[in-house]
Amino acid sequence: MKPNLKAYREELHISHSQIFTYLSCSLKYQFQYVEQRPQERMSLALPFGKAIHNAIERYYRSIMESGVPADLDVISDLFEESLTLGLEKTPAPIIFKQEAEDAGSAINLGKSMLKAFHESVDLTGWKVAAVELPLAAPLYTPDGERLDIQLIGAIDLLLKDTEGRYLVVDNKTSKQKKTQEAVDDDHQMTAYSYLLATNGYVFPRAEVDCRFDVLRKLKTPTFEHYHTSRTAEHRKRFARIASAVLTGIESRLFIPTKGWLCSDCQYQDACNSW
Amino acid sequence: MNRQLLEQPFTADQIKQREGGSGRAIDYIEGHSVIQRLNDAFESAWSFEIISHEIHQEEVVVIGKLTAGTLAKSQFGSSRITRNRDTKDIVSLADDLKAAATDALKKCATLFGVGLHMYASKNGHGDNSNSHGNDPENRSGGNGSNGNTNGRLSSKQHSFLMKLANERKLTKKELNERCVQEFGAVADYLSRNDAAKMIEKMLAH
Repeated sequence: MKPNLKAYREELHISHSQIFTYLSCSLKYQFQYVEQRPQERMSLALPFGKAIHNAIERYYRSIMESGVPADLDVISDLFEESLTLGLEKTPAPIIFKQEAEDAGSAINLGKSMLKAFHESVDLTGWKVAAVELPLAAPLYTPDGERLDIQLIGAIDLLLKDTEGRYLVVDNKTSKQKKTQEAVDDDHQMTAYSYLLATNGYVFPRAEVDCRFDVLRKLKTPTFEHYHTSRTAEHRKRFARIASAVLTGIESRLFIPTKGWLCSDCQYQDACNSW
Repeated sequence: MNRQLLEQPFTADQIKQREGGSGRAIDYIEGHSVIQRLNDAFESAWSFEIISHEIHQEEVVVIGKLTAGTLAKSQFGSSRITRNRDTKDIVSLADDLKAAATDALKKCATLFGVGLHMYASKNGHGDNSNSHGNDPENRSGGNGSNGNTNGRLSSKQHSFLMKLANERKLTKKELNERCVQEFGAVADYLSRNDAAKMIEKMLAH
């Protein structure tokens, strides 16, 4: 039986999103992961993004399993069901924003985004190699000592071209356009590249092609691709960052960091009273 | 108990060295030196028992308990399983278990203060068996390698905690709630000392 992400999560681990959280605001990391405090509030972006993610996953999984993509109706219904369930299950109040002021408008926005996805997605020249691929890999200190904690992650979509070269795809929803600098610096793709290299999908020194597929939350949604790549040097640097983050966590180094994420933070009250 | 004697630094000829995984020299104390120290400090009034043992694919793991008077300290010990180079057959599981037991004894003795100077002199803090342990066979337990006095729990402690919780029909959520209540962190983020305390508590019930 193939391991799944749930099994990996049973062991001591760190994920890209944990590293991102720690680097963005280590105090939030403490509240969310170390103490697992209940969330005070939640941004719509989280259940919304998850529901879109589920719908797109169904689309690609259908191609991988049967060779036929899922219909727009199917993924739209799945999105609505996922979002409704996600909103119902969330015990904390939801923060709605201008682009979707209530659940109804969020559903309409999501459906129009999925329509843009369905009309624009193009897999010509690519084979779907894996969908939601769970991977784990050991981490090392800069002097090569193996740590007790694994890096884990699930790659949204792994495509393979006719020459056997992989393309890592991560699906995102965003109102803003991404800059190439942000795409090139994003640790998530480096983490995936590290996982692929460590698990033998690519050669250890190989450059890994990556792409962010971004569904824009606009009145007329667009489906945009942002290409980047990751080398062995990127992976080496990422491993150092992961190791340093683990050292910070082990040292109980948790400091509030003011930034653009604060307005959507689930722990504003706890932070203010820290 | 003669604490001064327990914590008395070992002499240079008692401290052995071997090469670690990343090419660094690892200091360690041999089992008989630790036993001699316990005999001297407790006037032989101590006992050691194996609470449990597990045999994995590549290593054996034991939990040992060292008791002296009213005090008891528990710790993990492990040893890689020795296999025949050609046939890959296990050479002697009993010997591997004995090595793991010695490892656990040495770790328990450390909790009484035996060999503590080796940690302090190397990293300026205290307990960090990750990189400077007195046992070269057990170096895979560390996490952040920051020389912290009380680093994050090891994967062995974590696995054992999960096993104990499972045996006691505790969900992960319930275990985490207990850990947060007592130590301010969920199970995955306990310190080594707090994880050891939690394990002792669970073993006691």
